[in-house]
Amino acid sequence: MRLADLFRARDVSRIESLRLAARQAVEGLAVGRHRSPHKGSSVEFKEHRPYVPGDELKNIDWKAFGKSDRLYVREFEEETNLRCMLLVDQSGSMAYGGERARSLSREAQTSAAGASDSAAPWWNGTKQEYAMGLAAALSYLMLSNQDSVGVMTFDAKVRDVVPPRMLPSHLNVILNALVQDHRGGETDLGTVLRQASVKLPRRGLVVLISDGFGDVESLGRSLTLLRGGRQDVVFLQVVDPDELDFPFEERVDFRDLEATDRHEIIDARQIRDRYLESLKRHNDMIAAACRRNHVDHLLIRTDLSLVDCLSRFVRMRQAGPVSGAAHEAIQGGPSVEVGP
Amino acid sequence: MSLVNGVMALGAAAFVVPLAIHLLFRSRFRRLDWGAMFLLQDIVNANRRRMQWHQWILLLLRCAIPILLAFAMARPLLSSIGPLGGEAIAGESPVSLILLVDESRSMSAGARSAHAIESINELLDSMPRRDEVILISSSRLSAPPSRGGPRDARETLRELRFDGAPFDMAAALQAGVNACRDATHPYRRIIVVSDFQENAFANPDETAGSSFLASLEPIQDRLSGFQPRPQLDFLDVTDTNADASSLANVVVESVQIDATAILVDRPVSISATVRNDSDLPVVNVRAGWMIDGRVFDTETISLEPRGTVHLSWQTTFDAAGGASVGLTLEHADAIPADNRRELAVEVLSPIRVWLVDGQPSQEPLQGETDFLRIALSPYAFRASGRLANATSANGAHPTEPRDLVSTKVMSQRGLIKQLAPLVADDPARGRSSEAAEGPLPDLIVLANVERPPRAEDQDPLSRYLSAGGHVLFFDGDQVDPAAWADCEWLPAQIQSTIESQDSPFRIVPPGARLSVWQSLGDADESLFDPVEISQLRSLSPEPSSSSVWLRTESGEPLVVTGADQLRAATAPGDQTEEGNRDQGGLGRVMQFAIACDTSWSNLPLRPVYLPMMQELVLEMVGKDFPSSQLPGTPMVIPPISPPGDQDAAAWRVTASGGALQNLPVSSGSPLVFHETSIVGAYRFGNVSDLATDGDSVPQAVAVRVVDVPASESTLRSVAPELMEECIERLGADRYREAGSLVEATQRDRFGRELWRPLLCLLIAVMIGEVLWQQRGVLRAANPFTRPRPEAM
Repeated sequence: MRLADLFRARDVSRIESLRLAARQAVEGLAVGRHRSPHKGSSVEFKEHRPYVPGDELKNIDWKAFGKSDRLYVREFEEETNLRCMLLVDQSGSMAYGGERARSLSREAQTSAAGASDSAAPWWNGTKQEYAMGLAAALSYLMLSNQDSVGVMTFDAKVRDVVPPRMLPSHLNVILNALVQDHRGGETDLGTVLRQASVKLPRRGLVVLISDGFGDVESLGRSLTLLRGGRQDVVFLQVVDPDELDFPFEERVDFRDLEATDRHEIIDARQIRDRYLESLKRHNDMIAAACRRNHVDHLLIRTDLSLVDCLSRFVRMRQAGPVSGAAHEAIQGGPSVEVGP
Repeated sequence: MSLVNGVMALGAAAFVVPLAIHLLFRSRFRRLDWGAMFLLQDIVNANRRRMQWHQWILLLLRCAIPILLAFAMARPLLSSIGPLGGEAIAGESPVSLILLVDESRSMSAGARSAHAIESINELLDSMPRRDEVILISSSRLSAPPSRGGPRDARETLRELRFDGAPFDMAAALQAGVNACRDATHPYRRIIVVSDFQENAFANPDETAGSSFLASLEPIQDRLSGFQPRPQLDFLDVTDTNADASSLANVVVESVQIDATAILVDRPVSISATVRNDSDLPVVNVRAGWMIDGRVFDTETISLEPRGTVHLSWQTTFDAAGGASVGLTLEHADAIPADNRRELAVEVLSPIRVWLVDGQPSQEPLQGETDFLRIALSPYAFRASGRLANATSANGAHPTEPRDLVSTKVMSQRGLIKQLAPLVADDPARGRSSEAAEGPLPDLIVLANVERPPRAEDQDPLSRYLSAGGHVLFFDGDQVDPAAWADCEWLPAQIQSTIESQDSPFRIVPPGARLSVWQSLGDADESLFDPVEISQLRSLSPEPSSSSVWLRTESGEPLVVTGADQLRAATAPGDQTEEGNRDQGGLGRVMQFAIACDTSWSNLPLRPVYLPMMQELVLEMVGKDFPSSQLPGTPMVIPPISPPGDQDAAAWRVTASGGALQNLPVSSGSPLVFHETSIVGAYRFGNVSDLATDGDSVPQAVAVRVVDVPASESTLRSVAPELMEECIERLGADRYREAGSLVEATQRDRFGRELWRPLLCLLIAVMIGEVLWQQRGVLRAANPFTRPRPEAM
């Protein structure tokens, strides 16, 4: 799998132009653009400290000595690179692709067939494929910004783990891990996030890409655990437009993607209102859990192009809080829906 | 219920179409792999039963649509007149309509009668020719009802006068039920057309303590006995919007004669009461006093609102015979008919009494009948100056008052000699004839007569009684009880005499018990108190055929008469009873247990004796007939015979309005005249006498007056509660407009088509199906109203 198989050339150039910043201090292995909790050499002055034997003389602030007759050492903030871990949901529910998302994918394929740049034949409109593309784009973005990026796929449990690296060649490793087919089984986001938190020892950016279908309380507890580990967490909730507005009019045999033996034949019109009410309640609970744990929450419709979605996400991160929710942005992050 | 287009009902089978579609729809669905199954699962688990109900109701509505459509097109018909034996359907079966029309006088108030006629005509117009109409007028309940088709009934309606007797609701309903029994068609409908006045709901048997509602029970039972049960409707023609002024009315409440008997050439006082039944004063009303329908005197009266005026007038009659007196008012009001009221009277010649003295004497006051003769003819006695010549009223001076009674004393032999020729051949004829021997006496007094006439004398007294004569029997010491034991016409058996022991017998005053002697006192103050009886005859009256008028304080019968005479005397206002008195044509017999002289009592010497005997004679001789009677009740005329050699067929009656009618007169039997529905005076007599000659009023032998009680003029509707109770008990319907009644009859006859309500129901079900189907879908159909996650 190559990046060119996922995005057209002009989309790749647009991704390259993006720059994702961490909202808080992160710990990296290399010097980068992101604030580090450690002091180091940079142009950003942090504080004065009394001189102790062993300190380098070049760091003594002689002007302060002249004024106070005491030796002070100037300390500067350390700048490091971003360590980002992408948690990609590959559970059964992510396999759903509605008609509108498929239409978008067909448009993309049709336009790609007539264009000289690469196409996106891999995308059939499912949420999983959208999540995979989103993860790939984020990975490319990170690596192009000299940040470390890794990926962890999961369904009912953690499947593949690619540790964060900042090498350009690391992108292929990530892509190969993403395309591994582990679909099936039920999602348990809470359990998976608790497992993932063990494998994220240092403060960094955690991007959770999932449809969020599952136990919200468990998810909330896991987010709390991640936030306890000083992780900057972003939850990209990928949902199909059909799941948002339930457009079905006829009797439908709904077969569970996470348990094939479970199905219900229902007159879709009869339950639409109650479904939408239930979905809203579910999403409200997710948003509340994210707000409570200062987690940026983005609701992404799969009928939005990946690059547009990514650019909006990056702009939101760069601009800080969205929609005037300054307090929420500082405390954590707002829940926003990203769609066409 | 029947179906006009029954075949169309088969279309109801089309309900299988939505059923099949429903089942097919259930088997057709789209498979979809769905991720958010946990959201659906909670909804399905919580709403599975409700969704199943939704589906079932939806299926029911869809199946109902073709069924309703098919039934609407089949035109179902609801009718109380269903097919009988499958031979006819609703609308084809003829109906017998029994029309009970209130013809009472109150119906003539305002526009009630016109409204009634108009309503009935509207009803008749809506009826097919084959229907039967039985028209019963309330004034002719006992007469055979008018029977025919609607056209015949319309003709009969023109004869209604609405001036009849008070409407008797219970009797009218009974007549209606009787007519149902004789109706031709099985479907019967009774319609009572009336203004439903309060007096119509009075129980005729009120004395028995039963209420009017109780009298409805047998009617209700009889109605329920019919199969099918006749429908009963009340059509109220009272104009509820009529203002008070349109119902203002002045009525001649009563006309009365202030005398026991009216004699020729004797002044008589007539009084009348006029009542104003309105809240407006009535001024300058011309009131005219009438004799035989002609106004002889007038006066102008004014009446306060709700006030009454009493009028009186004095006149004399110059000829004996029947006559009518009355008062008429010239005033336009709600009920013109009650502005006139007449009274039937009989003008008598001086009463002829034969006194049969069983112990005659030439000495003054020693004869058996001397005291009685003085009591009956006091003026003649005074004019004569001596007892012996006081034999006739002719002895009185012309300028002095004349006696009511002329007496003639004779022995028993003389009685037989003079009476036998008069009653020998034709007793009925002899009474009013002027034969060579003289006319029959009005009363024969037997005073201390030893025995009745012998059989070889052909018993002239019995013949006399059969001819309508009257006998007054006084006891005495010469009376032989054994000889009188076989006399059939004496009301009591004569027993032995009883003498008083320590104290004389005293008379118990009759008081109000006897109207005849009511004026003589009662238990508190009585003219009988000074009367002392030393000896009397023990009488054994026949309990079944006689009654005791007077008793002594010890309980011994003193005056005995027949039972019918007691009823007449105790209930003088009961016109029905009085009417019965004339039916037999037999004379009356009064029997005294004492003598008519002073031998057994001092009664002849007491002031009570004269009025007592005068009143008694007038009561016995006076004609007992009703001064007026209700329309429709038969008139009974005692046996009359044309004078001389006139043919019996020449007698006629002049009905009210001047219509002449020949009468089937038969000698010796009373005449019963039934055609009395018209209010007014009916004059019976010889055709030559009744024939009008210029302005002269012909003299009639008898006059009867038909009139309506003044209470009928009081316009007061029945209490609504009583009316509602009556309607409920009888299962009747009440209508105020003919249109609604016609509509009801048409609905019952032709039924009520249900396709309109079925069509409305069909539309409602179709709308309901759409709404039910869209229930819960409508909100989802508009994406802008759906709950959505937070938007950017």
